[in-house]
Amino acid sequence: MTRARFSPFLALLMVLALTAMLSPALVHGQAVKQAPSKVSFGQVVERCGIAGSYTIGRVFAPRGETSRGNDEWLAPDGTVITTNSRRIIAEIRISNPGVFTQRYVVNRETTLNDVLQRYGSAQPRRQRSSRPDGRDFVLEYAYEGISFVFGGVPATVSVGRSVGSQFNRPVSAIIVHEKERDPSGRDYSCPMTSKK
Amino acid sequence: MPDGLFEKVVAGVLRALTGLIIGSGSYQLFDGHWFGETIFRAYLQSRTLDILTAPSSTEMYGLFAAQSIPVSLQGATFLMIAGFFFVGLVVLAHVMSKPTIAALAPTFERPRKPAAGAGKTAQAGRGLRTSAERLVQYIQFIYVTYQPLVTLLLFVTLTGLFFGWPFKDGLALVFLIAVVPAALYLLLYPTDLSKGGFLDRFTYVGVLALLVVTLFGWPQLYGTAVFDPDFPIVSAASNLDHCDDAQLLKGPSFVAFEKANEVLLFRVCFDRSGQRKYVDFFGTGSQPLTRLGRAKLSDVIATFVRPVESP
Repeated sequence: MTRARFSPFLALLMVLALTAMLSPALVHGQAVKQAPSKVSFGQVVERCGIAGSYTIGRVFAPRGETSRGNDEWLAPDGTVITTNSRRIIAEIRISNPGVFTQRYVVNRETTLNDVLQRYGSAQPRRQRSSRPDGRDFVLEYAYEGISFVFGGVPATVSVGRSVGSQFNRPVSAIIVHEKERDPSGRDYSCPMTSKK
Repeated sequence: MPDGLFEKVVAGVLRALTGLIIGSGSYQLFDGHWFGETIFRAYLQSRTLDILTAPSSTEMYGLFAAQSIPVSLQGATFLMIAGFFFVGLVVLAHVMSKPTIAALAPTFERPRKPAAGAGKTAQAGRGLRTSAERLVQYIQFIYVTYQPLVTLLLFVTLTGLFFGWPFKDGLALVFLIAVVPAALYLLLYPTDLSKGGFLDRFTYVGVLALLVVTLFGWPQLYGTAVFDPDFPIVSAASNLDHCDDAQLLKGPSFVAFEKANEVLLFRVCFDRSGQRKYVDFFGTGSQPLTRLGRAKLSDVIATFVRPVESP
């Protein structure tokens, strides 16, 4: 009588054993999925103090940036980095068009009116490491860690009053800076480190 | 019409039908717009995004479909690939040896079932060995006699493994070992449906159904679990998109697809509550673009903070 010599069940057992051996690699695959997001150049994550490769509170190591004196550095793309006396990054000013924030305010596109709709009323800063822009209007959000500069809008304008056509002026620069504590205790934590 | 001719015609039609299903699936995998669109829609759905305006060109979808298998294979380790290759070979061997096994079936005698208390005899060691041998013989008998059912069970297991795959990496490997042997089975044995017995017909229809289900499931699963492309961030003219028309707040713009003379962009828009987000496709016309690096859409969505509530 002819008998089947091979055993597919033995092969299946071997496969199961192999899968068990591979389990650390599979688990590693899942761990990679949960790793924090990478932030690209064009995206500002203000609550984490991140703008491209620069992070607020980190030591600044020049990589092609040129010094402008007074602890200011100019990157080739026009970004200005302000450091304190210990070379810690205190402010990042971005003028590039198209750069956007966590509430999707897009540089050179989003208007003053839209910024107010997305971020609400201003949160004036109590601490600052650089002198404020003299001529242009700056809308500050101290607890969010971000400010918006509106070129051509007089610095003396008060948002509380009617400013007419100034509401349609687009953001001309985004400044990322240290967050200040909100006395009301609202949460402004970094979404890339907080657990959801 | 003579019986032989009728059977040949039926087998030919079945072979053509199976070939059509497999061919359509393969085409969709390598350049299929339907697969690509399903992948993209599943991806958006899993991240609570909708499409505001569909893209004018569907070449982007073809690209998503063509990249699906290679992208999914990128995360797989060598050991994982080797493991699945081995499993694939075992399944292929099972499929290809069907005629041999069918020929062997009548030569097998039904062995006695292994006794449960065989190990308690005086010669326990010998009894155990005999019991193990009987168990192997019994399994061999079941395997050979019910080979079509074993085949169906095997493909049900592989399909179940594919739909229940819990990891991001290796999905393409499970998909391939579920689909390739099934397609081969259907192409090799179309006469099972016209000439085979009940079990053969049942298995053939079952394998065909599993293949179709797996093929339809691939873009959905891949789009939800694996697909996560990064797009170039650009500064685009704000009068080209449709977000204003839909009274939505505008977000950043990205390049979706580009050729020498055509650039397709999309912008992320959202409603005033920030609950609903959309992607809006539009063309650039002759406007110049400023490029600002790349970003994963999922990262951009993950870091989004809703607008403050109106007082």
